Amino acid sequence: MMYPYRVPRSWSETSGQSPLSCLSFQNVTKTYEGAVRALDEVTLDLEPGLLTVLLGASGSGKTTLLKTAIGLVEPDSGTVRIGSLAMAGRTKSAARRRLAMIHQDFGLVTRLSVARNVMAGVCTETSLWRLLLQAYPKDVQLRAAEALFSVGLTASQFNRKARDLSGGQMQRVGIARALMRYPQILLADEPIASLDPAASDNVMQILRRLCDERGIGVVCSLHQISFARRYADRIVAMRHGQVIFDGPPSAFSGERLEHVFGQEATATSTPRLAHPVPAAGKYMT
Amino acid sequence: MKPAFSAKSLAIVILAFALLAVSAKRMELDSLAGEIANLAGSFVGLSETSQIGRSVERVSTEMFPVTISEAKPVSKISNFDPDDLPLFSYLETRNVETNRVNSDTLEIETVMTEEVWLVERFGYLTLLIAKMIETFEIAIWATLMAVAASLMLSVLAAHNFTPHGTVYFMTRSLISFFRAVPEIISALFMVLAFGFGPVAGILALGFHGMGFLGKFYAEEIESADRKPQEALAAMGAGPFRILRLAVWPQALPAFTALSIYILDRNVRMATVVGLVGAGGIGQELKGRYDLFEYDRVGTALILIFITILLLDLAAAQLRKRLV
Ligand SMILES: Nc1ncnc2c1ncn2[C@@H]1O[C@H](COP(=O)(O)OP(=O)(O)OP(=O)(O)O)[C@@H](O)[C@H]1O
Ligand SMILES: [Mg+2]
Repeated sequence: MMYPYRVPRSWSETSGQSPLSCLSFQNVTKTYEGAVRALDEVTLDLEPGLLTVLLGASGSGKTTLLKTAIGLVEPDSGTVRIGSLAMAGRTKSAARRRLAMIHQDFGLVTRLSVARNVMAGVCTETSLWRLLLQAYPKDVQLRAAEALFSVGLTASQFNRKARDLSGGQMQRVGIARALMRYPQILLADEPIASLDPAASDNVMQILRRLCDERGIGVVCSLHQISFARRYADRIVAMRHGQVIFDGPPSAFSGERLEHVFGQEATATSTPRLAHPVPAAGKYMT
Repeated sequence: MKPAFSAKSLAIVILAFALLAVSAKRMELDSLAGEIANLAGSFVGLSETSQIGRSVERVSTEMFPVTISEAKPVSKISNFDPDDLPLFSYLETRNVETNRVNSDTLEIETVMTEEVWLVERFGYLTLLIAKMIETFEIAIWATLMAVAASLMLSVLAAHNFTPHGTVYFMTRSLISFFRAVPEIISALFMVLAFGFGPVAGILALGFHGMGFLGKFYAEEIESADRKPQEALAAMGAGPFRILRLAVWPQALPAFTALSIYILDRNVRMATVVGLVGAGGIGQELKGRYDLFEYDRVGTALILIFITILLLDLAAAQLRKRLV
């Protein structure tokens, strides 16, 4: 499949200049009403062409970081930019157009067909009356087919209802929908948390390929350390809304792991637990 | 071991029975019971006649056989052509008694005259069917009005899509108000405002339907799965796109079921609001009732019964197809 652009693979390729599509956080702070600080002065540059894994105990602020990145959550202070575009004010929609997101629960409309779900990826560029009649232009339909093929779905599955797919297939539909936007950075919030090991591996391989072949930057929050070690170029670990580790997987030692998922972190995590926090040892598979 | 019932629950039961006893006295249920006993007695020959028995007998003898034909003297039909009779009709010569004043004696005398009448065998039935169709039309327009208005109102009345808290409160109040006013009451006012006829019925039923559909559509919108909505919001989609792409497909089956229910209900209620002059078969029925033409009332009742029966079957089929 043709990809319309090639994102610079890393900082070095652009000779020291910040690449156009670098997602950068500067002193981003977010406190939910009455809750602890979900993000505390986060400063971070996420580059295209790299697969960055976000690690952290439940409640450490991973989801909030990703939501701030795509403009679903407004930071209290600090700025989020993609390239030169701020994720706020007049440039917000243009900035958003460079990003796409996939979700733990896939975020598909299960009653609709796979193809319809994927074509919804370009809904913001499609006129209202076309959406009303669900009459997508021919090139969008072709693009959807390409996106679906690229995540390994077959033509016979395009018109099936999304609810008839397996979890792994649903997440691949989610990725195809994200690819419709030709993102420079793809955000993934626990994309494999509800998948079995084989499907998880498959999804991670797809994400890896998107980095390598298309130069998309993938920022993926995970709970499985083993997957992080296997697929990540870079690991960013968070605790209490702060970045406490940032480096290659080889530098992420068992000691660090202890620190990220330590007892203390569990004790201070807030009641809004999406899922129980396993002891650190469980991750060492 | 806990006892099966405590002293407290026993006291509550006794109190409830005491209240029911007082209420039964107020509702004159005791005299009804007496009448029923009397009726039972008359069947086994213990008592001679009962009030209920007499009423039922009177109404049924007057109602049956029901009338399905219509007859008119030919003299009252303008441009009558005996060679071109309507379908299923025949001419009949009837002896008609007329009272008139004898100009000689100045006394009122009864004269028998012969008159030719045109009898249409299914004349009245045809008229009733036309009225029933009118009732259907009232129901359909009222449903369309309720569905169209509710689709808009429900978005404003869904707390996750309302533009503002005040708008939410106002639309919710309006919807509750529409639901609170019974159709028959609003039909009375609509007849005052728009005169007798179908328009009053359509408006009365339409507003009540909005009260029902607005509330339940809004609840469907609120309970639609949030995950796809958030996924679209992350793309920068606004409320209209989210409604169209994520909410509408999820809510459609429920919207359809609710709308079919309202259509079904509107057909039944359209006959009722007809009673106060809002068009359709109800208006015809009430007119005949007031003229003591119970044989025609009977025809109308049977037709309504058959229609509702068919409607129930059709609605069940439609629901099965669409949902
Ligand atoms: N909508 C919200 N309102 C209030 N507090 C919130 C909200 N969302 C998150 N929080 C709080 O912000 C903190 C960070 O939450 P966040 O969801 O970002 O953590 P996370 O790292 O994604 O956790 P998990 O691994 O469980 O997904 C937590 O203390 C959480 O309770
Ligand atoms: Mg999370």
